[in-house]
Amino acid sequence: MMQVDVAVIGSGPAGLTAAIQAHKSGARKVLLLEREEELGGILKQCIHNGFGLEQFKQNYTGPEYAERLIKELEKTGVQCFLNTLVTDLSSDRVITALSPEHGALEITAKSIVLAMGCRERTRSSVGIPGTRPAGIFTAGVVQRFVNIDGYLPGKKIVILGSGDIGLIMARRLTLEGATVIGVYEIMSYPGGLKRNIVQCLNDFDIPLYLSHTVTEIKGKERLEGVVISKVDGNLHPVQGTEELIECDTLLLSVGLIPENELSKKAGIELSPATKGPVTTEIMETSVPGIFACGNVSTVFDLVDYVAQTGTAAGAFAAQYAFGSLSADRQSVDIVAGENVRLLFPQRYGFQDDLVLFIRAAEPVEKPVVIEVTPPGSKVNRVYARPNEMLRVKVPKEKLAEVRQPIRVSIREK
Amino acid sequence: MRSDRALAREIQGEIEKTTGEKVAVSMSDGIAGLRGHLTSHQAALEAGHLVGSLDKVREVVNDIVFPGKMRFKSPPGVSEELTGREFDVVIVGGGVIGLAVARELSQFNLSIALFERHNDVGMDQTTHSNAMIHPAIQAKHGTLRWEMNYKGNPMWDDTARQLDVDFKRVGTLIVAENAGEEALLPYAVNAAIKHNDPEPKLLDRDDLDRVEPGLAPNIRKGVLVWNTGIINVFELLIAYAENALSNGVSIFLDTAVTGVQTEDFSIKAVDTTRGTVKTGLLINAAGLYADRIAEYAGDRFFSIHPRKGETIIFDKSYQPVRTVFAPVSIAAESQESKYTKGGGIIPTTDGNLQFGPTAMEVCDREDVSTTAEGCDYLFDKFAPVLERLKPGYERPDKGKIIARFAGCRAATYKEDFIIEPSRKVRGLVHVAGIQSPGLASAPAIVERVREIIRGERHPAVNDKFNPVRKRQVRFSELDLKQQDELIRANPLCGHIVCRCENVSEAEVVRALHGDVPARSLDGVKRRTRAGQGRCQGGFCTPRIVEIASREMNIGKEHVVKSEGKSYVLSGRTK
Repeated sequence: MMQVDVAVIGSGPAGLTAAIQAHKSGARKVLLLEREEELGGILKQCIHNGFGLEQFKQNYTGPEYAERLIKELEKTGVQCFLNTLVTDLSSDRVITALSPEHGALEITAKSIVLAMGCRERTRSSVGIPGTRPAGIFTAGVVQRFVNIDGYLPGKKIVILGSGDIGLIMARRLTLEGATVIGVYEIMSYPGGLKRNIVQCLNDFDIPLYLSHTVTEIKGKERLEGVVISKVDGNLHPVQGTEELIECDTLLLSVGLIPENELSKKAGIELSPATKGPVTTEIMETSVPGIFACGNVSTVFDLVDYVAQTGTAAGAFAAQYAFGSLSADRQSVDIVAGENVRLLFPQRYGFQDDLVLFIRAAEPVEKPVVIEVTPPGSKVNRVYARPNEMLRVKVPKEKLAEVRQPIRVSIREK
Repeated sequence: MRSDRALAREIQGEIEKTTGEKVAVSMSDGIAGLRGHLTSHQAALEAGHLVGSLDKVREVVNDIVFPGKMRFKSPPGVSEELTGREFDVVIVGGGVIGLAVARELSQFNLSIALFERHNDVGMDQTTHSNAMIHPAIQAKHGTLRWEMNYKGNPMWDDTARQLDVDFKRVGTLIVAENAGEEALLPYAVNAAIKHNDPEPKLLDRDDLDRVEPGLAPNIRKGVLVWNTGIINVFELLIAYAENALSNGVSIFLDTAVTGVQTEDFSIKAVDTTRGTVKTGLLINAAGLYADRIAEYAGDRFFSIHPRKGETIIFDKSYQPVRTVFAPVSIAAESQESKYTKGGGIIPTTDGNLQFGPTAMEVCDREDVSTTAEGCDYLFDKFAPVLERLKPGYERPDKGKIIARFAGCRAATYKEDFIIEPSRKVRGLVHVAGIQSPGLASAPAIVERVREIIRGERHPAVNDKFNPVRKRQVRFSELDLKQQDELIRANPLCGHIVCRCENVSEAEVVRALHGDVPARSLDGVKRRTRAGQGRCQGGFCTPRIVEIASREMNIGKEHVVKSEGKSYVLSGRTK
């Protein structure tokens, strides 16, 4: 059985930064496990720019951003197993993995960083009735087909959901000569970032229809059309508003779910709100020595945020591996108050500053104040929108005396 | 034939009384023919069911025209490659029945051809079934459907063992929620004794906990109909096909029958989309199109009316029951519902729970679309049952539905199986009207067909017949050491392409080169489970397109999802 100090599962932005930071923090044997044949995770297919603005003060494309991290990783002694899929994980930190090169192997690690990212919600998870023809894809699959394999999914395209990947693909497919008929969003506000609405839809005259959804799939072999309906305030389709739109492709950009099959196997507590592990500010899960970062924890808006959690996870996983984190650490819960849909992290463990990532439940288009109580910190923002995560930092010193749950609220000013 | 005319008039009167509309009725040899125009599909169905329910009527040919009625178009010819070939037996239909008949008859010295219109086996009813081996408690006692179910169910232990297919007798558990329902349980026992089960079990709480742990505290009594089984239906289809092939049967996929040639009321030849083959014996196992085949052969005496069933399937992480689970209220309802919506809570051998199927009469035999109503109906009916009776589990969640599917049952208006030699055409055997519980009945049905053929043709025994088929190794079922050895021998075994179901590239490659090769992404999915997990192909689709393109030696833009023009990709980027 192989033995390492820190094992990192997944080599997207979270895993790469965690592995680099674990090594920088003094862990000697760091192993990075990646199921694909290359490092970089989903970054490789994100050929648009907007990566690393905060972290590197550069406007990188996904592959460029990954390349920068990979170069940095290569300077370290981190060992990488590619084409290696982790199939099991135990709470005592034994990893089971399969790979053509290394066979079926078991690895014990002093600490583990989970960085498996997320997966896309499918047609079934949004429950669209109708036939089951070819031509229905999640946006990320199309992104791979177009950007990695060099193939187009179709020519007349409808996009359901205004998540960022869907918006990015609306532009990409238009540039490839396909007709994007429209983006339909069930909510009354867009799912993706404002900059993507402007740069990917508005600049290309692609209409965005809010409060609309697909209510039926038509076509036997290949998709022939979709029925679009308006939805009411409860998101139920309104009878009589159905419209048949001819198309050969339906892209779904209807949300991402943290990929936590391994976390479940290890018995890690998951948050019903984020669907990722409940973690502390040092990214430690409910199982001591197992850390989580990036989109496996909660789906972040920006790669910079992902990298920030990866850095914390890597640093503290290293500390755990060489035993400098005490065994009997205290923690308090962090709970969602007024107008907060989800929060990350969900616990405070008194080891570091608390960096909170907050998603509003309802949009507030006027100045808001974010309250973190105790200690009673207040931060002002000009608005709060569910599609744009809020980030608030509370210094460690202010939290030292806290003994009761920390409540986070978003209030109109 | 005065009595026929009198009966026809009587039936005409009945229809007019019930539907208020006039149709022409003819009677001959117990076969009722209905003609004329009605205002709706529903009215035409009602007329058919009404006539079908009469004891004096043996079968119903329903030619009533209504707005929206589908016209049947025979598929166009593809080639003449089979013209000139001759077979002792031709089987039409590669569903579970056609395949099982082929395998059964391969124990005789007969040359056998099986024609299937789809590019894979079992694509209509079988793969859209709930993969359940029913106990004989639902089909009406005295019908052929009941008899085949009764005889077929116990045969599955041997059949599944010979074919090496996952099969498990999980039982149907009928539980009482209160004292009133407990009083009804002995009736369920009686029904089981009478028509099905030699040892029905009336269980008290201790026994219940062993069979189905985690029941709500108010449940004190239940009945276990122990012989309900679940089977891996995809594996079963491949197993039947592989075993038939290895015993000398020729299976032609993508080959539709377009005509039947007879001479002096004897079968002479069969026209297909790939040419005309000579044969003296035709077995009509054409499922949804069995009435067309009968018509081609000049023996049209029944009509198939498609009845759609929708099913929803949950993620493996939601496994609240081990048994086919039914409270008394639902068990009682399904006994009487014949044409209306039904369904149940049914586990699968792969660990995905199903709710379904519904029952909805449709016009189009190809209608396999799912509906919002169907899904809502199933969820609203069964989710509260589990919530109430299995409180220890998380609430059923619509977000955990990983797939919805639908299929059409090939029902006749008598709602019974037809397994008999034609009364008009020599060399024609009908195995028609096979709907639920056709899968459970299959071993008994094929035995009956075998005896018909034996009685008519006295074929010699095939000494080389081997009923045993071994399945391929499933990588995910091996222990670590065995997996390691396999990867050392073939590195593709270590390359996992479907991470939800842990399917290796080696398994996908094998599916594409099997005896009954996968020709599509769905074909790979049915054989390997790749794409059947929670991400529904999100991760593996690009990988499987790549492997299929490589192994089939076609461009990626030619890889199909199912068949025909179901291309996954439209072409290259700029």
